[in-house]
Amino acid sequence: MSALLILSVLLAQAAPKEEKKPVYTALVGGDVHTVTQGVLKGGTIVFKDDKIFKIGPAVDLPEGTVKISAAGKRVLPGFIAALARNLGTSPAPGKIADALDPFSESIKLALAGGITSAYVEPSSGGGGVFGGAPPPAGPGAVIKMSYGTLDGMLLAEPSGISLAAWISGSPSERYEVRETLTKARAALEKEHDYEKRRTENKLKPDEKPPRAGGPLENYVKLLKGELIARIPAAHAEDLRRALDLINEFRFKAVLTDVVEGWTMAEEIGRARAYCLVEPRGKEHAPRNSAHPAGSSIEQAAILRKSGVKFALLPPNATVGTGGTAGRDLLTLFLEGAFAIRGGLDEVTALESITITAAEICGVESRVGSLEEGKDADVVVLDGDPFDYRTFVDLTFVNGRLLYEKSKSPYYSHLKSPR
Amino acid sequence: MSAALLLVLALSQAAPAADDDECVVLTNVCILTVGKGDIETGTIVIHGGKIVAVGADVPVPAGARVLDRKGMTAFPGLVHALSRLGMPEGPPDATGASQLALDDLNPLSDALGPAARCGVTTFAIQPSGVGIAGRGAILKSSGGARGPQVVEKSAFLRIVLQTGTAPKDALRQALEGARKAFDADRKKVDEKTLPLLLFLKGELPAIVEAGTPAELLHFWQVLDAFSDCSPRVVIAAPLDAYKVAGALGSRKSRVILRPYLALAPFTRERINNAAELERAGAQVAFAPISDSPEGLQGIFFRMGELVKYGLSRETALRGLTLSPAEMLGIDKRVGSIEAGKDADLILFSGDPLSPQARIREVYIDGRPVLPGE
Amino acid sequence: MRILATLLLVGALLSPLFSQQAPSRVVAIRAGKIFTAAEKTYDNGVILIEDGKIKAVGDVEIPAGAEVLEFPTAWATPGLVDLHCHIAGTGLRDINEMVHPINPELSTRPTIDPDSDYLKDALAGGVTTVLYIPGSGTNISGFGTLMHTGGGRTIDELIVRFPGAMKVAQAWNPERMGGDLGMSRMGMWWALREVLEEARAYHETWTAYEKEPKGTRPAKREDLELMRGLFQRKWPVIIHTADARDVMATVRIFHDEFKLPCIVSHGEFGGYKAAAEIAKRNLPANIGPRTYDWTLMVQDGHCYGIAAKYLEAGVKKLSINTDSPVVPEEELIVQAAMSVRLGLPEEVALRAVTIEPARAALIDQRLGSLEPGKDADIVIWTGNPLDVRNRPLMSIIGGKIAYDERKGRRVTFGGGW
Repeated sequence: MSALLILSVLLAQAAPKEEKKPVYTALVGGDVHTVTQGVLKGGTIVFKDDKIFKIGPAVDLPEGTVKISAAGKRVLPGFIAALARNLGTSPAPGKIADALDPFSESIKLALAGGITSAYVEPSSGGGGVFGGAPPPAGPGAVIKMSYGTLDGMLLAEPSGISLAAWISGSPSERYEVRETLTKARAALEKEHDYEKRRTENKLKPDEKPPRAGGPLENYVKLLKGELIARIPAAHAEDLRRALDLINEFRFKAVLTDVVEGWTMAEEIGRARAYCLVEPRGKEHAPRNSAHPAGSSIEQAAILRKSGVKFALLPPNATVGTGGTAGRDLLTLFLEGAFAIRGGLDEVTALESITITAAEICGVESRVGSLEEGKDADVVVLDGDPFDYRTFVDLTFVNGRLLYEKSKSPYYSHLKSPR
Repeated sequence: MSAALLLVLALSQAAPAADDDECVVLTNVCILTVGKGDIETGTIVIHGGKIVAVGADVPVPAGARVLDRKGMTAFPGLVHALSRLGMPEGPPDATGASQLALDDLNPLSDALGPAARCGVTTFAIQPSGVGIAGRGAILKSSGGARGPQVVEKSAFLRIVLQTGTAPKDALRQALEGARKAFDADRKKVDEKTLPLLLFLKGELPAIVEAGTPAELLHFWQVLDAFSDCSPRVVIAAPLDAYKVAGALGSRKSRVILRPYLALAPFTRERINNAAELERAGAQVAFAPISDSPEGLQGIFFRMGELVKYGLSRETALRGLTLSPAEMLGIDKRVGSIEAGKDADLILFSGDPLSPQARIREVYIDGRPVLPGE
Repeated sequence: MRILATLLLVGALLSPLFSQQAPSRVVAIRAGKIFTAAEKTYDNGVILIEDGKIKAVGDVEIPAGAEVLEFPTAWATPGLVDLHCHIAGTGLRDINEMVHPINPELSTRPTIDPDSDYLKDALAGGVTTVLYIPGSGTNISGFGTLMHTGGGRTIDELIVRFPGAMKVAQAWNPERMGGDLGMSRMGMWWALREVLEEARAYHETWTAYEKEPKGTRPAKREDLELMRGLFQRKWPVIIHTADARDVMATVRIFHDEFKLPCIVSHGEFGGYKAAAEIAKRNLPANIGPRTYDWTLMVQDGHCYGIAAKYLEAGVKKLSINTDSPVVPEEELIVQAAMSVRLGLPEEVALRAVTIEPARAALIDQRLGSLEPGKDADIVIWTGNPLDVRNRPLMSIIGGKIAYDERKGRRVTFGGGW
């Protein structure tokens, strides 16, 4: 391991005692792809501890800044997996926060693929190569690939709740979903009413603010926009059903496992729903289908035309070592290349694995683009992010260098073919 | 408490046997005191179950029985900190801070004699179960018909960590309950809370068993909320504890390890777990991985391997004796060959870390248990 | 008059399906880059096609009256060839008869589904020829069919050569659970040797009889008939094999002992450690679906590209497969791209999905490269095919356009395990 890497890990592990002097790190001379504010060629980006401090064509570096050359390379925000399985957690029931395993090898692998954050769900076990994954056992959370420490590993919990029951549940389960949303809406109105009367000093004596408890609490948060609903909707009927619910209750939602979204892009756009798109998800349309059906590699491009925002996922949302390269999160950026094959533009392709993925997970204020004040989750690539030969050179999480291609045994034997 | 146990306790506190009046002197022996350096050729004077004198030029008291042990090496008896000797197999009937491992001990267990003859002179028994499992006891082996002698019946709390929200919350709640009773009258504190209270006050150490480094991080998240208290923690750490070496070092943690090398993931590259922890600033001790004679005899071989791959000899030898004694709070009594301590000795046919060396004699409280009385 | 009428009729009948107007016998494709998989690569070269065959390639003059297709920024390559394909039929259940361990009498031919969506996806992905083989549930699962992925409506119209190859699975799948030989490698190797010896004896008996037909006619055995072609070196045996030990057993039995043309297929899970032995014997290796070796057999923490490792060991006859449906057939070029990513030179990777598999399958006189006299199986790509952002615009089989994006883009792509 490099000295810088060891230093990073040990520093993070030391129990915080006194105030430490800020640590400055600068990546100099690379093409900085901010995602939200264009590309700064040959620019400099400086971190102060765990945040992005400055970005500019030339920056006055404070004394003691650790300077790393990024000349000839590209500097991007760390990639965000809008869904990841078996990544960074031990299989244990309960909150993700209590099941985090910052020493999991899966985290090291994800870092080698340039992933700095991922949305994970508590699992109830099961699933496999042939079976689909069962519904999650609880709300999902966003975690960072902060190898070696729990500090700064949990980014947001809860981040999303599953409304799978609305699509695949029994009639009574579906009824439950609508009922709970209706109750949540009523509870929210009570809260608003309380707020209104409080500001007008019209509260009754000893009146406390109403609090929705139990499962209702998450639904209220959903209606407030503090959570996002994940609704698996593969085919046109599922999508229609999902959009009906979204349009009725107007909450932030991401449609997952979307296969036929391209057949109703406009409706999805109008509902302002997000999508999780697998460019290489394949399903043949039934032979006697009267209307467009099945999958399309052009789905991402078609959704884009209707203003639908989406995040991209590979065929396997895991970090695999099974042997078939290019089919999992280790090459998430390659998925953008397949979306481009299907007609998507490069700018949107990059957004769909950075800032839009962050929006879908509700963490866009912290990650997903290179902006001053955001978290220093950054990757340095040795080539175009959508070139099949590109490798991640360096990965920073919370300002700490956690992966270095030349020092890690994974790919150090592979020279850049450029 | 079982009838057998009562009997044994009674026996062990009875008047010492006639042998104990005799003064025994071992001469010409190589002494690895562990506490005060090595003596190439020296003398150990034993009387009343204690070491009376140790040195290169110690005079032999008149009337003493002199045993010439030329060619042998004397080493302190082993302190086995994570033992289940004499304990039943299978899941416990109940767990919780109020449980005592001593209640489950079978003092006449067949396992005790062989263990003593392998050099385990002091051992700490663990209660079984997970979470806050109960309180362990420290005992001295006997090796003979007598049962083991209880040194401390409520010696430490045992906490076995588990991953997940429920066990973490349970631990947190239990400790918070104890903190609420911090200034209460002890007689009024219930038996489940009292041990935790003593733990927070630093009067009862806890052996915390972690299966993964991540579990330690989660444990510290819980424990750091009680930094206003002064709990004493000994960590029984997993083989990949080196991943948290930095934190273990900066916390100056006391760590008990099994004596194995770890392998870096995906490779055959050896990592000396113990050496890494020590380098980072933690204190390390070792415990055999099993209580069987094979496991106990094998520990010297395992320690030799650790030394071969980078652990200091001193840490290795201390790690079986004085270090675990310190962690258990019994170092005034055992753990090294020093005047005033119990006469718990192993005589090897050569250097303990040499693969050819064999255990020839074992003394506990001055009584020979190998080759026997 | 009659002669003229006949000539006109013949002319009309001979016209390729390119244009409805004046029938021309020659088609010229000009492409920005032509990767021939032969000696040279051409910039802005021309491919001349006549009667379904390649007439000329390179800086050639386009004859008058030829129909010209211009692709100034495109790449032209030979149609891709995959030697390990399981998707051309009516499902995975159709390609494993797991009653006896040795089944040389079985073949995939009757299971071919010419209308298969998977074949259409493959064609639109630039794969024009596949060796459609039975599964690896038994030691000898049967004979595979060398076939086109399009350009025909019936099974016979699709077949390039039957048999394509005999399929053998040597360990890591066909281990039986009992009740039959083959629970262990002892039983599997024995059963294989037994049938190979029987087939050799059968072949020798028949060869002698065919030379001098005297005495009693030997018995005809359907199950051993096709195996004669192995000894005659008309078609090869393709062996699914895995780690180094199994790779060694493969080369020993099939090459050293029985001297058959063979293809070492898969060769993953540390198989590359025996690659030098394959190189020594100059045998073809067919790598895939795994493109890297990591945790299972590798012990130094590195992620090794399998094809690169075989090349490093000196294996020259390197081809890459998908083992579809494990990796979708249309992603054959992606397999090549991933191999490049993991250390294989680009040129080697492109040859590994064109000429090398054709050679290994003993069909290179017809397929695998853009050379005069060979079948006009050509794919036009939007750019370098290895860059996964590029895609096929057109797939041509036997001089006829079998897939044309201008007439409707095939959008189903991907899937796999």
